[in-house]
Amino acid sequence: MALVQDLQAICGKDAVLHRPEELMLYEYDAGVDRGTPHAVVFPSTTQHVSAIMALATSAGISVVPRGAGTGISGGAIARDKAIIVGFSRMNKIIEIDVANRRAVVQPGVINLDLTVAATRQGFCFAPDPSSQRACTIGGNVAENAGGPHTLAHGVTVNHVTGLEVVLPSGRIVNLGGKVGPGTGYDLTGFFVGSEGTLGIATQITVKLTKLPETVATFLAIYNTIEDAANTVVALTAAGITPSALEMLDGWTLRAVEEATHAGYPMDSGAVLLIELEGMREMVEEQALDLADICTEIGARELRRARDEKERQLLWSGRKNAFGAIGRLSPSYYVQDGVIPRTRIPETLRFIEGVGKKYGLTIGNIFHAGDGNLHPLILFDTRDAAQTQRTLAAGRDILEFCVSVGGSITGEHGVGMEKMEMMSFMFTDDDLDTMTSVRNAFNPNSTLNPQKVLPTTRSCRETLGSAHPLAGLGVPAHV
Amino acid sequence: MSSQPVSSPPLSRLPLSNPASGAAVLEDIEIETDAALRESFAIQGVVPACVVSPRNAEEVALLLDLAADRGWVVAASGGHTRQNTGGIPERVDILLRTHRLNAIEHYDPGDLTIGAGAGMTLADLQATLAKHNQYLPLDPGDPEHSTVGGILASAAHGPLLASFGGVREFCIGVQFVTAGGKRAKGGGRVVKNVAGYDLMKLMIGSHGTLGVVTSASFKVCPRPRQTRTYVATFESPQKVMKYRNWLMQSGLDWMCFEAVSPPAREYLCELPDVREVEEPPEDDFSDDPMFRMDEADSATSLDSARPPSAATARASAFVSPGRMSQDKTWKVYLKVAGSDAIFKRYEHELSQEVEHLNGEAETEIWRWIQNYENAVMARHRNAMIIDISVPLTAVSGTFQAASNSALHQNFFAASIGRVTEGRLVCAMIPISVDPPAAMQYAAAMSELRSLLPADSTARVVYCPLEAKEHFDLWGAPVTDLETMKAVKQALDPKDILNRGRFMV
Repeated sequence: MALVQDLQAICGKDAVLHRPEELMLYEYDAGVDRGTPHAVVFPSTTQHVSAIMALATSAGISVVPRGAGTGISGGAIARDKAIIVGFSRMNKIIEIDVANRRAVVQPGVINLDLTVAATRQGFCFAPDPSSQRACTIGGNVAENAGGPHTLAHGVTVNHVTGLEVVLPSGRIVNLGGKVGPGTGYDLTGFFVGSEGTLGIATQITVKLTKLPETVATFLAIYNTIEDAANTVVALTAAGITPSALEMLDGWTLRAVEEATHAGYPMDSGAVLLIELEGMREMVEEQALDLADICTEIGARELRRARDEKERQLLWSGRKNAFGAIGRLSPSYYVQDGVIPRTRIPETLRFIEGVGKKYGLTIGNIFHAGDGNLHPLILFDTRDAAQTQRTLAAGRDILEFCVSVGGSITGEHGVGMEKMEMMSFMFTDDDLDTMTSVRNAFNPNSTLNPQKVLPTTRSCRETLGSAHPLAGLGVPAHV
Repeated sequence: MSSQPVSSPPLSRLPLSNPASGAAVLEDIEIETDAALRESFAIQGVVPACVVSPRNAEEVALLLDLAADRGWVVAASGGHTRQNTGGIPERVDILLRTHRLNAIEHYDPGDLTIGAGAGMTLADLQATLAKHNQYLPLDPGDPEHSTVGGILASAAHGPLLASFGGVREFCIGVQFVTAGGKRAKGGGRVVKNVAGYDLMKLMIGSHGTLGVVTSASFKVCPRPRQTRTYVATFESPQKVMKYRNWLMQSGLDWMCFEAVSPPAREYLCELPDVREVEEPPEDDFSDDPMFRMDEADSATSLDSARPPSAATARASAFVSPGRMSQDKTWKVYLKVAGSDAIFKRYEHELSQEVEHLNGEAETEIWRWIQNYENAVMARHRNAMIIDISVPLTAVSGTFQAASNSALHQNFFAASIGRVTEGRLVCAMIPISVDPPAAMQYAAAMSELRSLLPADSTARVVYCPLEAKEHFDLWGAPVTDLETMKAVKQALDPKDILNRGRFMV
């Protein structure tokens, strides 16, 4: 309890949670892993964060930063009874500097709130993960979050120019500022996507992106998923540059349609949600080319949103898809593999095969334009055998993604969920190199321990619960 | 960073087995010790003890393993085009040429991704992509010699930075060898990837001090079917900025947006002879102590109906060769891609007086802008080239600060800039009648830096060797220096990579 009192002394009595029933709320994120923290503390200032870090480091207790808990790879979950640092009290937009195209925010600011604040002046914050109504910019920085429109605008790292960071020692440092990469190492770029393992960002300077003059949103409807996949390949090859290019397979779109009534036809095999943006002349020209390609490849219909209301309706299906799946299944396991765009058709066939092999329902909803798949595997955590098959299926899919030149994660992060799969992509030397740079920031692994880098090689980090089922609430014997 | 006293490599005996790794044998690696060849690869007057051209990443790893073991200082060299950047090396034991690492490692046109060896030149890479009507939107100077590895190391940029960002936004994977001889990689071959730490960002702009890049992968773009360039003329940089602000609020999109100061225009065309400047050209700046740089270029209104009064046009975009121009106007070069309808829209929205360039004239002017630094250095070997990053609101103030700082130390400033991104390239050119002393280079830089607003950086990418002593070439970084040192220590604990040349 001494630790709780120390945390209360730093942040105030009402800023620390420590009772078991309070801590239960912080055991999970939006993924499948679980872990109970020692305490949860809510700093209000950078100095609070610094004092918490210094305290934890001297006490040898680890710290896990947490935004809104919308992550799906376990990045914000406490291993080893760590202290969770929550940012709901550091949620201010400090500055919107339109003249310099920058905003300065605290890490707890919700992604969409920044865009809403900037929209009045004709700007947005470009990264738009599906959880943008809830997720925080601090979390976006940690995970290098993406979203549908990152196809044209880039992911979080392309939009962050400066960070104020608290290092594990408690030292407060600046990495970059309002101006883009200048002189010295680009540690700003290196920090983004480090999943809370290098330091805690306490202030973030981001680029503001001008809202496009024209946006055109299309729904292309197909009888088969092959035709939809081939359209993605053809659009890329033809030099058409959509700002978003999303695919839903037949099973998923039916589930989504029942929940959101976005207007997706229930009898179709797949739909593509395609958005073009930019100068109106360019949008209209590309719209013609787009229609030609979709028709040529066999779209049975191409609908264009007539107004913003219709556009929002089409997007509501996509952005609320995961919630819609929740109506159908007690649990689902979302994968985040990436493949070269030309390999989408064969990868979808492979995923179908995996579903059959393990007797599982797998829906596909994904950022087709950049080859970032989100297979959704439905399962019930209470069925231990099915849970095991689910994990095996997820692993098979990611192995396949890597085998065709892809990645195990496009935007969700490695976290605890995929750390043992890092070896699919990286050699021991690669991982040792990453570890040595991690140690330059976080030498004792005080900060977010046992995440990102695999623990199975004993020399790398003190071994924790590295069993792939750890945290799933699955008995150890299965 | 500790530097151990070590002997230079025994040249005749370099191809020997490395006791540290046992079996590794270097006897197959070509090692050149010929004096003339070594001199041709001197870095700022420091002649390397030997020149080695490994054929693959394994050989690079063997070399660096051995170098780390012996404490030999290694400098990697691609096209040897930007080796004048940074401090004078303490010594160079091994000059590691990457020119044999020049294969296309993967290219999938349908996926818009390509990977190439570090030694491949940008021109060769672009030629491969052009066969499929694609390109990598990077255009640093001297593409015929600039290599993939060198562009990563120096984060070199060109006018395309204005809309595409730099190499940082396009590099999706990197393979390199650490100073300990370990082969490592970050990223991969796909356009979206967050697995593991972003080692690409560490390598980009690290000036070869954290590892030797052996190959890299990029996302690429479809080539525009046609482009056009509009040239607008202005009386002052403040008016350039008003025009910029208006365009940035408009619905128009562009590829390049380059502002050119009156003295810089001299270097965007052929000159018959190398010629020293007799008197500084005027560019209408005055010392104004009340000048508030950080507010100077703020957008004044959101009214985007009309462009601000722009062109008091002079007919010629180019100054006549052979004499310093009396034309004191600023130019904005705006490169646009798209259909005829897009061009028509531009021509409707821009003021009537803009000049249109296409075809060879257009290609030509962008080649000059891309190679601006080289054009200046070819004419003035004692020039100083500065790469400046500033907030958007401080651009015209920075042009002015550069001009004043130069004049106070017997230079004149000739600047161009990617002004929609706050990235400027300033050439400080000695006045021939009374050239600056070596110390005045440093004095001009410190004055310039003192005038820039917070978060700005100004680094010297080229200046004469004599001026480099006691000179802070890099300037104070915005990013925490201690953390940078910790990263350097982690990846190159013996400081064998480009020792003495970078800020850490």
